[in-house]
Amino acid sequence: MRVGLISMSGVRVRSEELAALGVSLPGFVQRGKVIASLPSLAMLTLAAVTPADVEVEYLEVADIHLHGMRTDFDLIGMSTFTAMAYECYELADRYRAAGIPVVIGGLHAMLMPEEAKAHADAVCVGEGESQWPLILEDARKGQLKPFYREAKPGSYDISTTPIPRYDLLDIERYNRLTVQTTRGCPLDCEFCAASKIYGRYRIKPVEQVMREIDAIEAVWTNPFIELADDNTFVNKDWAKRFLREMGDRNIRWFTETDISVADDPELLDLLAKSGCQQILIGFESVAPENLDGIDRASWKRKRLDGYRKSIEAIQSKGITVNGCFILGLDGDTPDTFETVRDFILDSNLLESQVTVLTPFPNTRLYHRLKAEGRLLQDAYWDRCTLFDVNFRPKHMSVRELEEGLMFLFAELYNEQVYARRKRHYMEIYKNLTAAGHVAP
Amino acid sequence: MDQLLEEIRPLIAKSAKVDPQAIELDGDLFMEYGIDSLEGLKLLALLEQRYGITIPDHELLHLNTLGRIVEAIERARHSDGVVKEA
Repeated sequence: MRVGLISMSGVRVRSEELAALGVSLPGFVQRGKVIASLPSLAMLTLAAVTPADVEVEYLEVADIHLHGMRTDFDLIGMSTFTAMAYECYELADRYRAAGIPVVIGGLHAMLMPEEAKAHADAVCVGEGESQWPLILEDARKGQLKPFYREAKPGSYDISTTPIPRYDLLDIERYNRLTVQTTRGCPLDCEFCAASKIYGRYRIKPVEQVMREIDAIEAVWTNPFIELADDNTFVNKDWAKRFLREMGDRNIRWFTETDISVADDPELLDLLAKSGCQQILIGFESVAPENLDGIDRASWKRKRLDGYRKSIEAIQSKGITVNGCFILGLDGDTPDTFETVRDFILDSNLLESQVTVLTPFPNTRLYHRLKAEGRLLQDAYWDRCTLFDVNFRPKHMSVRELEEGLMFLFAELYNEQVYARRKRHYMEIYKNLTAAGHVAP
Repeated sequence: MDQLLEEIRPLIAKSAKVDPQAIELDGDLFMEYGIDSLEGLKLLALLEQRYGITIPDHELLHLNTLGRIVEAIERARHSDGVVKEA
């Protein structure tokens, strides 16, 4: 049996105006390139739970577009996030027309299983590690079921996840490899699909994470690792054990977490010594009315007054913060764009990401906006790029939101700001070397 | 210029984790030698400290080769009419 696992990577902004502006801005281009070149950890993990007697091949969708569709497979597995769902369906239809059964899984299929089923012989609604062996067994018998669901969603023990098959990758084409240390996020923000899909927050044992990093180092001697987590450092004791291990490795890495890392000086010191290059933090907004109720406990609202101090505390250790802000929240007005720009520049954030509020299907946000009659279309998945507007904002027009986003792109990602950020980081680094905190 | 070149080449090689002889004058530090952007900034900060100079901010975006870095340091060392020694 030969199985092809297809990674649906890459996202294209639909707005031509925004795409044209984006490609001319250095900061935007850099992060876009990084995201576009990440391999699919889901597919590498499925390959790892594939029995040894099944031949498995990892494919990037870009290669299929470039070299054509191969038909020498007995089964195709595809995983897609929302923005690439239509492209995934189109390709799935072509494989099925060629007589090859297709299984679709991933974030979007978990959110919209019935829709995905129209383009697949089977849909994996649960977490892949537990369902994939069952799917292969049924595929061998020619008896695929329409849906594969876990009896109890979110119950999969991620400490039993096998080491992803990094050895299947052509390493030369990637500038980062991903490792997942946690699954889900306890904050449960209204717009977030991950909290809904993954259920309770789960953490891998540190030793297991290190074995996965060993596997990466076996195929790439000087790797850059991106943790494929939504919120890595929720559990501070686990975080410190993980960071101590990373400190011995001399590996550069990146992750996403929340602002609470700034509260713990010991954790920050360990983070600085661990090779961490950047942490991405969702600040979401600098308007209190937007943060009220954005997560179930309004945790981010309670942190708002400390944002600047926390950014300073983290960055003074030499760790850059990529601050993320969402535009179009219900408290936003046409004045919001200048407020967000001023906060990002005044707080000396060394990296920033501004995106528009995106109602991903089946999230709490999606259902609320739908009930309020504010969705612009019923299905708009290829526009779930985080940069295309898909709903009517409360206190401005769609056009005002689009123009506000472009205004911020021009204000934040230009050469002058980029040079200023570089200078700020260099001065932090000089202070650290002068104080003897890092060896020059 | 030549002396500066030979002083800086090993520092770049250390960041890139390659042999100094592999670093060419016009080789791209980021694309060809795999130095990431933060490592590049640390290197420039180190060079500013070592040579007691400040490279103008607008030049920072364009320092992607050994040759360009050496030229920028030369310019900065001569910017006030006095050559600064390391």
